[in-house]
Amino acid sequence: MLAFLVQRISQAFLVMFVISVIAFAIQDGLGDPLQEMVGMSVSEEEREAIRDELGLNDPMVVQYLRFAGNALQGDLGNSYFYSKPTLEVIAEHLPATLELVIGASLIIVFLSVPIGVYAAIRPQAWLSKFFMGVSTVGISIPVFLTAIVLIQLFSIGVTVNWFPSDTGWGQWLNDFFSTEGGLPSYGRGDELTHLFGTWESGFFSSGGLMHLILPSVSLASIMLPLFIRLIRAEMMEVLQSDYVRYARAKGLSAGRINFLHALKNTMLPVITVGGVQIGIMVAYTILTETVFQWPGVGLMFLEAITRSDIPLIVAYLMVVGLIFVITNTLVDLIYGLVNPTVKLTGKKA
Amino acid sequence: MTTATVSRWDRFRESFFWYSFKRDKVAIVSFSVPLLMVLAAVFAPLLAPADPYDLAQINIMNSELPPVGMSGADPAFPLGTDAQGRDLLSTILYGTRVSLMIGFGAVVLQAFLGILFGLLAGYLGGKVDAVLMRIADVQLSFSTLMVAIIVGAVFKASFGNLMFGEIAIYMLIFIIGVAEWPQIARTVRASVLAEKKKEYVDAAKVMGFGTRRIMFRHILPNTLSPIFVIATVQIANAIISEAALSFLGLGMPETQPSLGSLIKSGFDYIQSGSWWITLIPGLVLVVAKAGLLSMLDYLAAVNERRALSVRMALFHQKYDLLITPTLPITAFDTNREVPPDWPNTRWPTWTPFTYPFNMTGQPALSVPLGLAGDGLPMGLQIVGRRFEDERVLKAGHLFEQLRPFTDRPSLALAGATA
Repeated sequence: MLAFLVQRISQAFLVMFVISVIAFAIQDGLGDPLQEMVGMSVSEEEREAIRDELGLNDPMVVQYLRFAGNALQGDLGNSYFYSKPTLEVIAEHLPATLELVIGASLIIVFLSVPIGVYAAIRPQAWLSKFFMGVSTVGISIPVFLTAIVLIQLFSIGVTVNWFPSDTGWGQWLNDFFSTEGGLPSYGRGDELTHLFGTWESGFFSSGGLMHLILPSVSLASIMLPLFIRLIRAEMMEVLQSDYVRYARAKGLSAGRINFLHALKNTMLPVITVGGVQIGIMVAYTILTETVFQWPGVGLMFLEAITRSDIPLIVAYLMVVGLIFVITNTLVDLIYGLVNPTVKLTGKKA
Repeated sequence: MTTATVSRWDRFRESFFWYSFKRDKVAIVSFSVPLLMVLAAVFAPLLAPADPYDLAQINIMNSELPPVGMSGADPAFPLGTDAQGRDLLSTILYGTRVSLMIGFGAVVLQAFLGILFGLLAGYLGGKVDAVLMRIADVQLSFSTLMVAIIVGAVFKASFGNLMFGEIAIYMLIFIIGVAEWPQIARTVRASVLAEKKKEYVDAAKVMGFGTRRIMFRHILPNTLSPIFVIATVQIANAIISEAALSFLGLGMPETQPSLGSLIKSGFDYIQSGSWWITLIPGLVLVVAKAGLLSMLDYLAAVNERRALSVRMALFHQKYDLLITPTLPITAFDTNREVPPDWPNTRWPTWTPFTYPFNMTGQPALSVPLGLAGDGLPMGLQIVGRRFEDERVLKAGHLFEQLRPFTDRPSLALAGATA
């Protein structure tokens, strides 16, 4: 176990080292701090002097060590656009993204567990087949398209006049297929509550929550089918196991068996897979935030690219890399604890 | 030369694949969607009513016209027009072309990288394997989309907007190809590990062939068929990744649109009520993915069937005939799909001995064997090699002579017990 622990943690450090080298290479290759600092009128000798002073003429290794040393102390340089430390900029945008992820996670948890369990207990019921069908469709629609369709349906609204509107039933059918619209689809609104530090929350006002609905439903749409399928598959496997059959033979009630004994063992693999998915969600937040102009780190990153704000790009890379490495390492470690059959050398067969 | 091609075509027309394909409506539909897409993409310049790259053909007065069927539509633009007045049908045809080109290109690149690294990792093993597979693991844990976004961002920042737009198509092929190679590398490595243990590899080693020759000339051809299956999934994934990158502004420019950049440029006009500019290309994108995946499902099923045929062929190298019971159960009510209290609702679960030979296309014969404990008849199944129907019939005849089914119950009695 100790070997496994050491191996995983040293791998995490190695990955973080590689990320920092890539980040350094980007900063070194693309950013010219001199251009940002001095005007055109400065002569070549003076430029050279400033370069020397800033250490830009030092050997690469020395420059990298300085970059890594600063990074360890929480200094990733200043953003060109915002003219303040990049980590501060990221900290300002992070709460919006976290609230989006929390909103989506709540939807995923409260829908996937009951639907997955139901589909496992009654695989033949038409409702289960309906849910599985919808989740198959859901998984093949890219997240930005789901978001656009949601905006069209629930923000702009759709008026249908397929049926003759002069008859009562025609009008009723038209109304039935039309949607009202009206849900906000742009940004977070202005009813935000200040919590602490840079955290402005939309969870405590109706306006803030309304703004959260469409983005978090869109973000959830990509992960929800995956979790429903996972929970269903795990649950079906558990329901076939000896201890569940024994519990049935002993005469325990179906509810007790399903929700107390079976669900508990279903959730372990679901949680570990879920941990990995949180990392993958970061990529999808970029898409969701772009569609809804949600002022989170994803949108900030895209804007940094269009503005060629190299320090901010580099800082985003380092922060996201760190989040990925930490979640993946934790998930691996938890998985190793829960399932000791994982090979200790860590080689996946 | 011509005789060779004719015979190959004849062989295909007489193959079991073509025989069953012609009779399977689902298969034909699932193949026709990707086929139509590819044809539409290849012949886009001939099919499209207008050339969206030609500025002279665009009239801004025609902008944001709705598709035919809505009020204010112009029949010259069946799917309506976009904000610049371009015919949407034409831009979609050209966009499909760009999207498919990037999809194929990216898969060719990732297949090259994946096969190379997968072969090296699987055949050489040890340190090479450990390092390559760790890289693949780490890259996959970051999610391919994230890797693609970051690589795209770096390229865009270093080339600048204009330059990036000009070489976007190659950039996207590179970005998606590099981001997704681990998927194929893992598949190749797994089949190389299986192939490595086989005798022909030992034989090649004994004959003194070099490592490179064994890897590329002997092992590689035997690992190709699973690659074809995964490559189809990867084309679908690459098309979606391309759309996502273009939607983020890291892909094709508006002047040379892919499906993703059409969706992106249309999205700006959705608030003004012009939903078709963004949603019709979106629909095409989803249909493209769904069509590819359903074709893949069919191919995977064909592959499975072939694997079963191969296993049976290996069995028949040693044995002429396979004798099994016909069914694991006796007859039950005719109006039921499965026996009462059966744990499953699908009929193949109670016909495990017979349906495999429907799939392998082998001759199989059921001979009456006698009565089971519940008084109902049981059968004996005789299975032979493909095309050896005669041997199976002979065996059945011999069995009937040796053990005639004399205690045959009268029909009335059988009806009463059932």
